Amino acid sequence: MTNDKLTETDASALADLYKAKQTWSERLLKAEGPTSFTARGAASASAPAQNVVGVGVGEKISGGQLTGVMAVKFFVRVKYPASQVTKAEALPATIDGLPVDVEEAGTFRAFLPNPKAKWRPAQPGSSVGYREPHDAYRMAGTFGAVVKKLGVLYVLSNNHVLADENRLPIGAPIFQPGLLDGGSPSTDGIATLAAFVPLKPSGNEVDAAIAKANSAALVKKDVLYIGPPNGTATASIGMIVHKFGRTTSYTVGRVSSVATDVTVGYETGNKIFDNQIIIVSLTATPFSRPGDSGSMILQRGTRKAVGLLFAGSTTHTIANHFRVVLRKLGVTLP
Amino acid sequence: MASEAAIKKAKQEHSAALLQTPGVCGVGVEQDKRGQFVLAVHLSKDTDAVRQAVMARVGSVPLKLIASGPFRAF
Repeated sequence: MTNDKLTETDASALADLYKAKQTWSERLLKAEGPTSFTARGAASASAPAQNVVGVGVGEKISGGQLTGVMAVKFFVRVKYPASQVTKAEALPATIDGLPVDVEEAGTFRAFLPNPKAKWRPAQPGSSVGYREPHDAYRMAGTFGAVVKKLGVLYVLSNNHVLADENRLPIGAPIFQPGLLDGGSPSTDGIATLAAFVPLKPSGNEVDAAIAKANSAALVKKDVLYIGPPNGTATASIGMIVHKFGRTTSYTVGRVSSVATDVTVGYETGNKIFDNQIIIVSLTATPFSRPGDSGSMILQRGTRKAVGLLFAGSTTHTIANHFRVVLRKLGVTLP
Repeated sequence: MASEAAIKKAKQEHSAALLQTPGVCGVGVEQDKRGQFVLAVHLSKDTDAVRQAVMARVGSVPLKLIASGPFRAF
């Protein structure tokens, strides 16, 4: 078998590919193994036994382009950079001379929740937002986490998602889904604005606010698709993280900095934040986009909350340190 | 090779002035591909003039320039 481009079906070559696929499928895909854990817990390791979710035969992709070369395909949850995979964990580059392709597929699941839908109880990862007092526009951001203070439950998100950049009065209603996603002011209120950390021109550490849940039964702490947070941790460079947000749903990224000062554009003007977390996507798609603001960012594997997403560009995401958010608001994870 | 502490010190020294430089939107501590600590400067405008202004300010501090584009609240 050579690597020459196959311009028509080559029965012998395909038979070799399917034979190799069968061998590796039996070797790596075991229903009773770690991959049978709930995907949220098992999704972080680079070892093939945890990371490979499918083995097949298909066209090799290079630089985002189909090559016309048929190969044994390994579908992985996360395509880690070569520098993060040990020799023992690395998938083969070829199998008995047959081409191999590794493609990131995420976790195959029968159900991917719709963050813009109405959720009852409302859950982190779903769309939330306020009502502009003059109905000049409709907006939506992301429900970050359920937090508590003195036994009372609150919705945690950004100041600019719940308090309109310091401008909303305490007691203003918060809706799930946000009005931009079809939420109704008359029926979809789930909380009322309770507190926010004021945004100022410089020296900001967080963009955060909380809204008191109208009743404890209206909210549930489990993040859509990911599950309940397992406490908090401090982000570190190189940490693999994930989030579920209103716009880009489930994404995985890597922390590239935990101490970056940034200038961020807001409706009310630019604001400088100190020592923020910077995250880059592990795939070709962005880790976040507008509307993902407020998403809780968790360490993959441990599900410990490390950040609160609030800003970004087309290539980079910025988050507050989650422990700083909790401290500034005087709340804890339930 | 600069230590993490040295880069943190450089960030503390230069961050405020760099963030006032047109075309700069972020100043942080990162690691390059070899794992060495560098001062990472995010550019909202990646032009020769901006790059030169940054390099003139930081001097010999190990530097990584990143064309992130402007940051905005999401």
